Amino acid sequence: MTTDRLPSLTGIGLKPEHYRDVMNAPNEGGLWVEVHPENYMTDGGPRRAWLEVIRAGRPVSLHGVGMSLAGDEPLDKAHLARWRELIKRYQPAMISEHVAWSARDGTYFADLLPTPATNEALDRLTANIDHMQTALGRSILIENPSLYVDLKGEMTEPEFLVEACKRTGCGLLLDVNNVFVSANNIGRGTEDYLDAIPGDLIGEIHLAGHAPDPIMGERLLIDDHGAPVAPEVWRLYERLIERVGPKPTLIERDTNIPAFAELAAEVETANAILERALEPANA
Amino acid sequence: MLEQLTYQARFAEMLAGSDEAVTPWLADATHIARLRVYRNNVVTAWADMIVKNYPAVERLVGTDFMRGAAIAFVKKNPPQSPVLSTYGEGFPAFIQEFEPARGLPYLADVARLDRAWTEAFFAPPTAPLGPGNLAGKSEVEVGALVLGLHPSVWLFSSKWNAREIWNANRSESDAPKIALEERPTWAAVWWSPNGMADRALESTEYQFLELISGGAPLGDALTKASSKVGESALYQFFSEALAGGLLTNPHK
Repeated sequence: MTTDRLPSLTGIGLKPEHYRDVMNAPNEGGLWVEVHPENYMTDGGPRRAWLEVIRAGRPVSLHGVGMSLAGDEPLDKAHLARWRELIKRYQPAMISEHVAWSARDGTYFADLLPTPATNEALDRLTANIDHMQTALGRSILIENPSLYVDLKGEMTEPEFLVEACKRTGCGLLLDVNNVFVSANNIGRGTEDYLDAIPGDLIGEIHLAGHAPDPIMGERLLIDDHGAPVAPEVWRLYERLIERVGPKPTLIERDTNIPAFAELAAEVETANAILERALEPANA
Repeated sequence: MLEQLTYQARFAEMLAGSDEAVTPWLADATHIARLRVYRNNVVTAWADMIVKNYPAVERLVGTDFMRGAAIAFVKKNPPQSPVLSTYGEGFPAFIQEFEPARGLPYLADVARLDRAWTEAFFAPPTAPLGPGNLAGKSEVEVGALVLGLHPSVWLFSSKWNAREIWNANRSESDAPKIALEERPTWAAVWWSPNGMADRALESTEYQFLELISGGAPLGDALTKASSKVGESALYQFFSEALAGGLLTNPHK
């Protein structure tokens, strides 16, 4: 398998609990892995050594959570330098970040905070994407957010994201669970949203689970990455893949980490959908 | 349109507790009740890292007490960097002054050992000095060597038997009950060639490692630290330290 680009097959968000399973997983399935680079930005430690071993056999994607691309402050130069070090060491097949802000005035909030879809926010976001792509010498993918509140905007979220891609040359990491969660939470459509995204902008897809808010129940879904992918999200994913063709897809689980076999079963489900999109009847 | 710069400043105020700060930006005024989700996400993500980085403290005080202490800490000391693996350096000093923990005077020392473990775990992967590196050198040459501690080594001293308590509470398995004793103890925590390691030290061994850390030539450090115990005991420790990966040769 080549390790310098992501195959249009399914990977998993790599957790230390599964290092050994992934190392021993057969290569034929095309399993690739994604990590949060921030967890590897340490001087040393066994995680870095494990990633080196795993990187030798399969593509690795670096999916940042700390760049604060939608922030109203300049990007953190020290953080960009840490990114460069990881890119040099692990030669990732893909790099991506979020359309969110997470730091301000010297505090790192450790959450993906929402930005209104305004022209001013778009200018700021695209300047930051340009800065990141120039500093790293590579194009990136940007991920659509999960929203818990509806913010006043000047355009729809797909318009906002597509315009950011057009201006900067970056691609989209389309998180179908986030589309579902946000639509549920702020009362907008899921299929309209997905149909507004040109297929050629999509470089990767994320699938994950969510949970009802403990107080408001199903009216407010929390993007906790702590459960299997929901049936509605699978349905939206299948519908999307029928339209745009196979795309590199990731199963994410960040809390309630299950046995590797449980994730592997979800990987197979996604791969079956990707393979069906290649059959002549769908061509 | 309201300026985004103001929006993020006001959102940060909301995270600190003022819901009304972001109402001008809400498309649906009823969503004010949902802002707690962001506030909760932020504090939970911060506090989770403290709980994760201080597992022996958590076992000693219990989940609820630990979470309360972690939340009190993170609100005063939020992280400044997106690299959270080593977040929480100030927690041992915080817990020492934390009023509800006043009855547990050894707790801060246990926290210092948890911290030492984290620091050692993520230390730069430098190759330690091994016994083979001294082969062929004369006794005079070895005595003149200025060695250093491996970058993962954390030296520790306490007026309690804190390392015993820490060690018994560090893993998930059933902890043997350790009685608290007020007596001076010394220890080292480091990343050895076989993985994470810790051991109790005699005061002379601790003194020897401190002298090495301070840049004393090996011969001087052995002589000074062995004045009370005799050289042979300390030579034995030196061999163990060498084999255990505690030393480096920074001037090689």
